[in-house]
Amino acid sequence: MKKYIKPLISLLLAAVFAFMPAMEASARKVPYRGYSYDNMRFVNAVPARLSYIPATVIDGVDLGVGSWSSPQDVQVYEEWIYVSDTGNNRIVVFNRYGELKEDVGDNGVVTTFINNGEIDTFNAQDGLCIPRGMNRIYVCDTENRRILVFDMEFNLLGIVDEPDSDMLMDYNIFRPVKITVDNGGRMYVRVRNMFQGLLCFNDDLTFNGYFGQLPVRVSAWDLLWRRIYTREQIEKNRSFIPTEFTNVDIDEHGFIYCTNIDVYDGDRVKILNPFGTNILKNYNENRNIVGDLLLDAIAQNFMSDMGANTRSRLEDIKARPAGMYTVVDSRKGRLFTYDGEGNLLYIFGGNGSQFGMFRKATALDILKENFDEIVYNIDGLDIYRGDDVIVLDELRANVTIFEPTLYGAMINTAISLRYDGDEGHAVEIWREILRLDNNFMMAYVGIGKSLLAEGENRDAMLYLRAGNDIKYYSVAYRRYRTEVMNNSMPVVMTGLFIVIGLYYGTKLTLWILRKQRERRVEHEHGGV
Amino acid sequence: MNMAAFKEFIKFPFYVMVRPFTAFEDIKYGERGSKKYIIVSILLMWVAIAFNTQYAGIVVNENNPMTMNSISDLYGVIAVFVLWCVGNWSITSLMDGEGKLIQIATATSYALTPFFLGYFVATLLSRFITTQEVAFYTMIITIVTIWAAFLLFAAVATIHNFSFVKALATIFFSFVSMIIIIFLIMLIGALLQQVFFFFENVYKELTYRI
Repeated sequence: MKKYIKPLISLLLAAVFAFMPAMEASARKVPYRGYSYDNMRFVNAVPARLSYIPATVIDGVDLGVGSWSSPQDVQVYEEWIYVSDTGNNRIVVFNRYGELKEDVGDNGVVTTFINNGEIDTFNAQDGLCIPRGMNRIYVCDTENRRILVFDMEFNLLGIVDEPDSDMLMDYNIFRPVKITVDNGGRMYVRVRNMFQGLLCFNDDLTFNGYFGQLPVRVSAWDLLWRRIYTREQIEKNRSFIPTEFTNVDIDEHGFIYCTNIDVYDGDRVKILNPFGTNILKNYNENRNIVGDLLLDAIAQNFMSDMGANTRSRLEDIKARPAGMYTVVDSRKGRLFTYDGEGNLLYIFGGNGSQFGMFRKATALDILKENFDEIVYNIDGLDIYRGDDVIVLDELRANVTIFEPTLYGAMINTAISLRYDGDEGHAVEIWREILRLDNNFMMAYVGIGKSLLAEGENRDAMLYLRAGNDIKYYSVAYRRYRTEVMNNSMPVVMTGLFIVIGLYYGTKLTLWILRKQRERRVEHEHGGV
Repeated sequence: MNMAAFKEFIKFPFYVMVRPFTAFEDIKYGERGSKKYIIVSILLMWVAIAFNTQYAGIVVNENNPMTMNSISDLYGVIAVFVLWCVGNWSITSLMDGEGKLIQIATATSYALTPFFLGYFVATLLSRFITTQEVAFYTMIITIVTIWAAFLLFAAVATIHNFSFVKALATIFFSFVSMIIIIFLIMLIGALLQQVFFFFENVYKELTYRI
């Protein structure tokens, strides 16, 4: 009986897996492949499970409001999805079931608003921000060169015009494109063609200053060439100015997440604290946060021509629970999710024409509706469904809602448990994840570290080696080495002394015997 | 090989390591040293490098196991060895060097001794160290590299009866001539390919027409 228990349990588990709602969805044909990067010293792309799969696609025609024209931003507040329909100068509000929000604007479509008693309109408005618990909507009215502040019913509360400050340069036209707002009502605005950083405005709509400037890097090589160049050549050469941010977001603690298009190597995500200093953590050597590490990972490893052979261009970023964040790569249409320590968790999405693919993904947000839904239970350990991701495609003019698979939900749950310090339960999920995907390096490292904490040095070594965490492998190895030495030292030393004792003892005995014999021989000779 | 000769064969490389100038003098006048050591040295060098790539501890091993190929290591060792000997010989025969090609090869093979011995020791050690102790591994590698380089210098200086500066200059120009040889080989290869393609085309044309 006993030998049938294990197969029986696995069979039962398999049945449970097969009937999972999330797993059922993954049985649908998903047009992109799951892959990830291992953390060996050489960058390898490895196959991985699908973490998120497309569930719903909604466009303007589905909503009955006419197709959108190059929409630029999507924001989610509670259950409502706000899409900035830039080309049509309107904002469309609806939910994931394709129902328009009837109590705002003209049946969910905001085209006009009352400004000083007169009817006013948007002009190619771009970024939106709806901060939590403030009942306000911020809109970057780009071509009208102003930022509009509304309440939730789109009644105008205030307007931010171009600040009249000596700090701003004359040639810069104030065209706000992306905005995020912290708990204190301070606005952090990305202005087009402004490389000095973000503009910061106070809650009372006055100008505060620049925020989070990107440093300029000039190499010795550039300086050498500037010495050799003539004045005309220098003028024609590119000038050393910092790169622009592409998008901003804020997390629940008030840290500002930015993406930029840095041409230099290095992390292309910045997390700024209130002083404007970068506090991004990335513990992985040679693994910058740049989206794809290889120019085309999929084509190189899985014989497919889906990806463009380019570097990623990070277009939007969203802070997620437990220190995670997701960035969208508009060139290849892929979404990369990292945890707070800079580990790449999963990659999904892609460019193409099928259901759930993109032509130019420009913005994303998180739908938190189902976060607490428990989808699976391992030995009393709950797996939460995690949040859905909504992605806006500028060229296809639609939004795609992605739902996590069981694998994606497990990663989300494990990261959130780790973030809360519940390492023990996280390790149990890591073990389950390894059963689904044994290329998931973080799981090996996670298990290894917990074994190390428990003093299981030998097993910790194996796991940390599999996860290629050299630093912690070394720690485990040193402890294991000490352990082995402590255990074997008495035996080895005793053995050594016994061997030495036997050697000299034998020698001594032989010497004594020889002496005796000699004496006897001498005696016998003497006797003769 | 009788027992005494074998003993000498084993002991002489160690003598070279500590008394290079005397030892290379002996090699030059054919008193000690064996030509068979060239083969032994190349093989051991190969084994040391392949052993290091495959079995060096995870803490120091920076090689990609996916691209590890011990046979190409052997080709590399032989190619570099032959190139060095021919390059050095072609330069020194122009600069009044006294050494013959076989003497250069023998002396070079003896000069490599500390290098592969050190590599074996370092590889073994690397399996028992942690990240904090990597310095010991690096130290061994550095010491044996410098040692081997010094022996090589001593070999060139002694075999060809050169002064200090002349030996250094010769070593430098040997590397230059190695690069020139590589360039010529590639050139010849490309030209031969052209010739081959020409005859191949002629043959094809003929077969199509007949």
